[in-house]
Amino acid sequence: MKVNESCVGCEECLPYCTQGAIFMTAESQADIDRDLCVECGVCLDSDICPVSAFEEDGDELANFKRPFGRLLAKHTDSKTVTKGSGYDVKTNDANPKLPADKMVMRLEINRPRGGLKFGDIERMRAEMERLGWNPKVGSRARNLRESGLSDESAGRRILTCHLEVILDPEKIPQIVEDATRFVNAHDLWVSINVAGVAAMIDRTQLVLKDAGVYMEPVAKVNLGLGRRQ
Amino acid sequence: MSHTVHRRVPDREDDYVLLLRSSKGINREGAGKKLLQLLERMEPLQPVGYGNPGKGTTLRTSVDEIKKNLDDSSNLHIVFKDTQSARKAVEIAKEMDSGLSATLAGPLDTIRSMAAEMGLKINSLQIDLGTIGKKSFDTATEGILSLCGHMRVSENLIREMRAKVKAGEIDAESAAREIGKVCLCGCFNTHAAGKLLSS
Repeated sequence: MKVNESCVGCEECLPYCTQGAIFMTAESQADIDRDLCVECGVCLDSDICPVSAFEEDGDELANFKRPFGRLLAKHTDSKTVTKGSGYDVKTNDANPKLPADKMVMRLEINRPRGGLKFGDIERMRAEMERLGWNPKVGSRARNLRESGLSDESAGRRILTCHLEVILDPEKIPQIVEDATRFVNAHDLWVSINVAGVAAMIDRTQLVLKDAGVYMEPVAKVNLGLGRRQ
Repeated sequence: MSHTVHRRVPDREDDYVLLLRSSKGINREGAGKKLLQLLERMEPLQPVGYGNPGKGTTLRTSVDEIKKNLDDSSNLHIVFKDTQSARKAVEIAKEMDSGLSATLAGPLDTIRSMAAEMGLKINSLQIDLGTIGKKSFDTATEGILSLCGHMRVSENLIREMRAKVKAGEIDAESAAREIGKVCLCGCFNTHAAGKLLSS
């Protein structure tokens, strides 16, 4: 994001920035720390600026970050949004994609609030892979890994990304332990969820209860009303 | 992103999100009209709000505009602040039998009981295993942050609104609405956020 010359220095925008990247210059104009900015676009979308001084940046850095931060924004190369492998509880009744005999775990890095270095994802992915978990990451990240992650991109801040692992319920306690060790050593936080068909969830809950793995008492539940036309 | 799984409000029965959607090539034809019919049947339940990422939310757009913009590719997120309203909404979805997918995010045991009582066969679930690692925010801040799963709410805005509520410059519900304006998909629960702001 960038601020154009119409800024009147009212400072109304400052608290809206999700990463605290907006600052006031010596000339009392708002400006954006581009290293901190994750291109979430809240400054623009919130309509908080009385003179519409916020503008999207179209350079390579902004295009890199935006799909990880802004709702529905697409990667400029792959033309896809950042998401997992298409396992979606929300439509699984009409369009079944969840595996019948496995669970899909997502490790959502720095959720809630967001803000991490792109290299944190790669480090966590590499460590989880070393431990045998075969994690997948968001579409752009996967492309970058295949093409070789540069030092420059590793240092860039993005809003968030997740790792996805398909696994047996019995393995969940171990992966939670492995992830916790990594996260604690790298000053990150990760929200974890698992998705599966109803029968697999029953089995999973028994496993987690036996192993003493924490479960929040909330869930997203597909009520089974969807169907093919 | 799993945008409605990790919601962390202390009073769980204050927060339900009903997600209605179609799938391309599966049940998309006529979905816009069905969504509008479902919405209009559920409006008397007085949802906290509703919306859709591309079509607007009740905190940002007029209701007429949201309805006008609903088309076959739309989805719809409707937030309820109590179990009774959420239950009635599910009853309506079942009765209307639109063939669209309906997913309810909220307290798991209550939703399971609800589904069993209505004879619904749950298809699939996504459950929250909590957050690991070191978080720098307090419980109330985390609760408000979590109500926007796309992470568009800033800690600084929460801090500012809390201070204004504490100073009596604004009431908690209005402060929650101001925060909720940054949510583009309609999932922000101003009722639950208002309670957290005044806690």
